[in-house]
Amino acid sequence: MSAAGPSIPTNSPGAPTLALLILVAIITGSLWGLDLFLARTDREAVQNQANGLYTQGVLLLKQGQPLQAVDRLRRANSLVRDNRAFQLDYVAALVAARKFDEADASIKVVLETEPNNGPANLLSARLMLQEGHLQDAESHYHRAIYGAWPDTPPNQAPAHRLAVRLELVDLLAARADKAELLAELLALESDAQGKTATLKQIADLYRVAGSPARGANVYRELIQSNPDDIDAYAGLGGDEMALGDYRSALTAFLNANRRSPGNRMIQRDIGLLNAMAILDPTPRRISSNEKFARSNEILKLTRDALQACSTTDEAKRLVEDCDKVLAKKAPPHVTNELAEARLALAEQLWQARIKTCGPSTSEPEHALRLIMTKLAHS
Amino acid sequence: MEVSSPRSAIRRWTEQLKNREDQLTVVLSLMIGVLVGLTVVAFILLTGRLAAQMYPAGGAAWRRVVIPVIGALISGFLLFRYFPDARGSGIPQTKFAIYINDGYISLKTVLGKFLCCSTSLASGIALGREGPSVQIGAGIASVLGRRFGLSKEGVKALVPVGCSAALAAAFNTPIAAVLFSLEEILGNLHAPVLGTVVISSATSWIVLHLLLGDEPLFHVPAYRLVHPMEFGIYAVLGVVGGLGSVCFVKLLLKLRTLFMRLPKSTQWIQPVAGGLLVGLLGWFMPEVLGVGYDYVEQVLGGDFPLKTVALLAALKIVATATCYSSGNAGGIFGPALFIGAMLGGAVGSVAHWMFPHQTAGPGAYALIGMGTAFAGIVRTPLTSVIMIFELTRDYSIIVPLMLSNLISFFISYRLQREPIYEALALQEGVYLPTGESRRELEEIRVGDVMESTAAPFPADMDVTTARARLQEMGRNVGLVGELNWLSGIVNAQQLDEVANPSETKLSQVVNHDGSFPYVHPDHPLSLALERMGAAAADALPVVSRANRRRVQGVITMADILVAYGVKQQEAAKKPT
Repeated sequence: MSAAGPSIPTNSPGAPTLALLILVAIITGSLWGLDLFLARTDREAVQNQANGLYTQGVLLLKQGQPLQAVDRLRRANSLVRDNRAFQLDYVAALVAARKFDEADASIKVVLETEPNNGPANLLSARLMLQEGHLQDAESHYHRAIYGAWPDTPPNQAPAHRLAVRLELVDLLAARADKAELLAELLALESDAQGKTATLKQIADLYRVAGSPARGANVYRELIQSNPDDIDAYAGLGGDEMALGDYRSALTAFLNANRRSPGNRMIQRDIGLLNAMAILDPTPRRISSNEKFARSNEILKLTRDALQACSTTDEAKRLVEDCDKVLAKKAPPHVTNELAEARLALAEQLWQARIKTCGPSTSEPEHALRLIMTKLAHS
Repeated sequence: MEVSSPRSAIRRWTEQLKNREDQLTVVLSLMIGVLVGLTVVAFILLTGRLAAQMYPAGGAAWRRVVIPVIGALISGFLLFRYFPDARGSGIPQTKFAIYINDGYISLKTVLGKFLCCSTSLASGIALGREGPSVQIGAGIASVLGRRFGLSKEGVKALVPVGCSAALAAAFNTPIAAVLFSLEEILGNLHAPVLGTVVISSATSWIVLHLLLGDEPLFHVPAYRLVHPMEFGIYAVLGVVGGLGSVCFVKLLLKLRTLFMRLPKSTQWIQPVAGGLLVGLLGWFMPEVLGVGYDYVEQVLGGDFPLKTVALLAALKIVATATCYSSGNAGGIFGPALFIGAMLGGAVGSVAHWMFPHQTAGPGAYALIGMGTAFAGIVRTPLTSVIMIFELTRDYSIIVPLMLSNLISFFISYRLQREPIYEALALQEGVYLPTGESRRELEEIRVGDVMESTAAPFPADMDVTTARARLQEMGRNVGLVGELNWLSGIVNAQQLDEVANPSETKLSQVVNHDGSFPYVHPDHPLSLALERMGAAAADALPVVSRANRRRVQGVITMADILVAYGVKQQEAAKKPT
């Protein structure tokens, strides 16, 4: 490097300025052309490289390797910065890799420019869910449902919205937020007309939302449109059972069993309903003797249930009272009042059992549990 | 009516412009903005494409060793044989052009810089593209200025115009480009070329946007201050950035001294040392190669292991210092940002590990780290703040950035007095004016050296007495009037020309319209000197800013010479 530099030529005031201007214009034009060519070549090369990285990233994400996917998708994003699909899949990979801070920052950038973007809001909702911000998640789910799905063909947008609503519904069901769940299910039902699988899912969730009657109606409609739909019969049986109409439930399960004889789940439910049919003291058609016998049986079962799990003084006292009642010889003409007294005692024993041992979950007590629930509501 | 052809109209217009250099300079600034913008964009794209060809995705590791060596060999030979003025970063060379060569940079140097830097940067030499862009821009401005027949002063004034256009296009930072040209290249934020510098920067930026669109150099997540205690961590980052900067500058200068001691005949092969080192480092850590902006962006995104960034900071310091000092063509702006980002990332990682809930992610610290290294190495604190802001367009980082930059700048200044470009020039035997030395001179004010016991001659004093008093004082100028009302000044020549001096009063000689030369106490001494020269006076009244007729003192040539250390105090007091 020579600091002093070469000898400095003197300026030439008489230089051909017009020619110089033309020369400058030609150089400018040539440079402009060269730059356009280089920029286009560069863009193409960069786009190809980014596409390759993106494809790899998405594949890795699907293969359950989120960390590697994050690396590829980050590089794709740094090469092509305005591609929404790249950005959103990058966020999805970050969420999958549990890099929530980064995912949060990245999705915010997208939402700042497009607050109404459906896929971005869906991702944000999932991120919020992972971070435990349920209210925010719900809000983003709603924005995703009512937002725009710009890169989706118009005929596919409703399907995406439906899927998002189902995801939201699953969240509400998991939170047991019955009122909100019911509201979403009502909206979802109208959107899902003609979609059998979705309608079955909705009908099941109506039960979770505390409205099995609505679920039963959906199943009935499904049966009407396809009388051989085994799932619909089974679902209807479940809803009828939840409503306490065990006869209708049994009919539905028997219909299902007729169409699918080897289905163990259906057979188990039929078994349960048969056991309940033998045990249920509430039907009006049964005689007083029969009602008394069933009440006695229920009393014995509740006593056994309490004895099996509790040894408290209170439990012992109740069991002793029960034994005394059961030891009494039945009069020749039993009345409904006698049966009701036994059922009242059984109710006390059952409540004591729940109080000391918690709600029953055992399979053998399933029929008794349903009977006692029905008695409590009757 | 005569209808002139477009050709003759243009000729007339250009002839008019030639006679009005100011207007021509403005037109040239626009032209320079366009041409430099286009050239720098071509330079960046070409270098990037070449680099992509040299290092295809998934390429073999041996390429990383061989290609930098070959690149250094080719550019070393070209620099030695054909383009000796294109060596190095480009910033000191541009300053040489301004301060030594009347703004002269040859077209050959511009072409050589373009060619050699494209070769060395594409081959993975760990240097930056912005410094060379500045010299290319300055060179284009210089060539155009000369071809359009500007005076030497005019050409000189165009050099920073080319610099700002180049930097605006290279970094996509139009404001920082203007500031850099003023702060570093000219060393004066109030330089009179401000207008043309802004025009060229804006024009070049527009060209860049038309060609490549509106994208900042780095995309970073929106960081924010999480907790006030973060200011403390940013201060620590300033210290680390400052120390890192000093290490880099000292190592670079030391290595350069060693290389300069080698025989001149080995100059063509010296760059290979840099190429080989960076190649060997790149074998293990490919991130060391080239400018490394891709990796900087990753670090800014907050995704990196602590060990990697700490190691990369150290390796990049060594690689860049060796590449530069061995004579490769390329700048240190890019590497400064890289080093800063790695240092910041390392500090941020430790801080985030220790205080996860009180600190932002490590990416935020990497962002601030870039500014601290830039401020510490290049020593342009104002430019560095604005540059990082423009690079990232993240306003929330401004306050921490200012804090860390200031600390880094201070530490760098304390431990390495000579700024890097001045130190590099000094190794060449050139004494460039530093901003500090300029400031020191500007810091001496009239009020610091004036005599506050000014005693104006009464207006009714006769000319003979006044002449004798002037002779006693050893001056050729005297103040007339009172301390609170200065009538004017008289000089010895005026008094000598009076026909009847003993009968004539000073009030008859002095000009009462108030058009006398004067200075204010806060004026720099240089202005006092200028005004003394213009008035051919060896003393001037120092007057109040609130009332120009109220005398606060008098400043004499002897006082100024003493202040500049040219004359002894005692001698100054003696009448001349």
